Amino acid sequence: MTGPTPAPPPAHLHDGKLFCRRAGQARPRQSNGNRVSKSQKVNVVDGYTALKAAQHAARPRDKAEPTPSSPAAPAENQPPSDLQKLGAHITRTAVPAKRVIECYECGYKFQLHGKSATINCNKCRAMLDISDHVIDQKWNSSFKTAGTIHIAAGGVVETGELLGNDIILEGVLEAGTVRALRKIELRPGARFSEQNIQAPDLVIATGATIAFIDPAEFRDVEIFGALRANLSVTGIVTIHAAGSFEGELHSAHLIVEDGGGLIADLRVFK
Amino acid sequence: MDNNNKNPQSVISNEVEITGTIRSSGSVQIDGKLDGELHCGGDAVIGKSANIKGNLAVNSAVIEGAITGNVTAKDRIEMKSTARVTGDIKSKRLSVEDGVTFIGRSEVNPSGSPIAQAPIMSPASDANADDRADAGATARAFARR
Repeated sequence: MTGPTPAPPPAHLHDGKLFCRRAGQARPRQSNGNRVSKSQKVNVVDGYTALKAAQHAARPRDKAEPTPSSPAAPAENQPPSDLQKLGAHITRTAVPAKRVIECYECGYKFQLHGKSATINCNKCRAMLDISDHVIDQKWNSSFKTAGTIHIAAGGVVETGELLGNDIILEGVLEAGTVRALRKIELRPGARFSEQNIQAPDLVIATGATIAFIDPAEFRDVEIFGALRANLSVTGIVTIHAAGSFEGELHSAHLIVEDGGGLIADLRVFK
Repeated sequence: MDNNNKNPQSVISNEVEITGTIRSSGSVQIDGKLDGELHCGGDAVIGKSANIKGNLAVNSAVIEGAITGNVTAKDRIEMKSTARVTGDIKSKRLSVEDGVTFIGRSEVNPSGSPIAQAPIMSPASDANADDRADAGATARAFARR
């Protein structure tokens, strides 16, 4: 039951607001809580809404627009928009690649996500160069990096101390020293002096034929090529299918893949 | 039982001890103790509980147990992680799993060619074999093919 309704004020004078009707809006209530009767056909809108309504009315009406209360369902035969196409391919979050960085100042190891040229060590706060370097010409200076140092085929290290997480030696190490915090990989064409390299792990790449004259110690050794040496290995020696080893081997663990060559005096036990 | 590599014809179970030489033209599986030699024209499987003191001459061998003696295989030797071998091995092909205990000499070269035939080269100049003989102080050189 509706109460007595006061006479509506003139449309252009009602509290400074224009009265009109919008589809889908709840009917306003009067100050006493009673619903405004349908016959009054009034609603409170501000000037912005009136402006939007005018713009809406001025649009061409060749397309039927959905009402706010009933959003348009996507047409089945309609091609998807660019945004929809993008969204269809986003099925997982792209996570940057992880790298293990070993600080060359304090030895602390930590993980790095993504790419960067420098980073502060999480422990000693030293600024670390973590970029990779390629030496493909004569080189005469020292540097440190927590990335990889690749002495390429044309590279000749004449002097200097090179320190990197990984070393790839494909060129000539005439003098100076290279020290790897993790592994050194010897590729075909590598020429160096035994005393001038230091690394915990050793990798003999495919096609490389390397001979160590003096006894050598490593943590892990992987052989894809040919190695002749007197080795003491605290970790594991892996002779891959195309690899071969000749000499003496003292190791805690040995893996020989089928096809690997082994002509050696062996002492393999923990 | 057919003459298949996976199904040995002769089985020496783990309750059996043999002193002497075993000769077989087929495959053999040994899980017991053998104090003597094994000559096998087929494949030999040395089980985990096997304990052999003597030489083995086989076509191929799969070793999981303990052997004190030399193992010669025409084709291949496969050492499982539980293998314990004290002696020399000779074969065309070798497969070794992590965990084996092996003291001896190995002669396995599938290609049949000696390793590192390339001349040894020092960083500054080529070094021949004589140089390498007294290389202790200076010519610590590495091979390059």
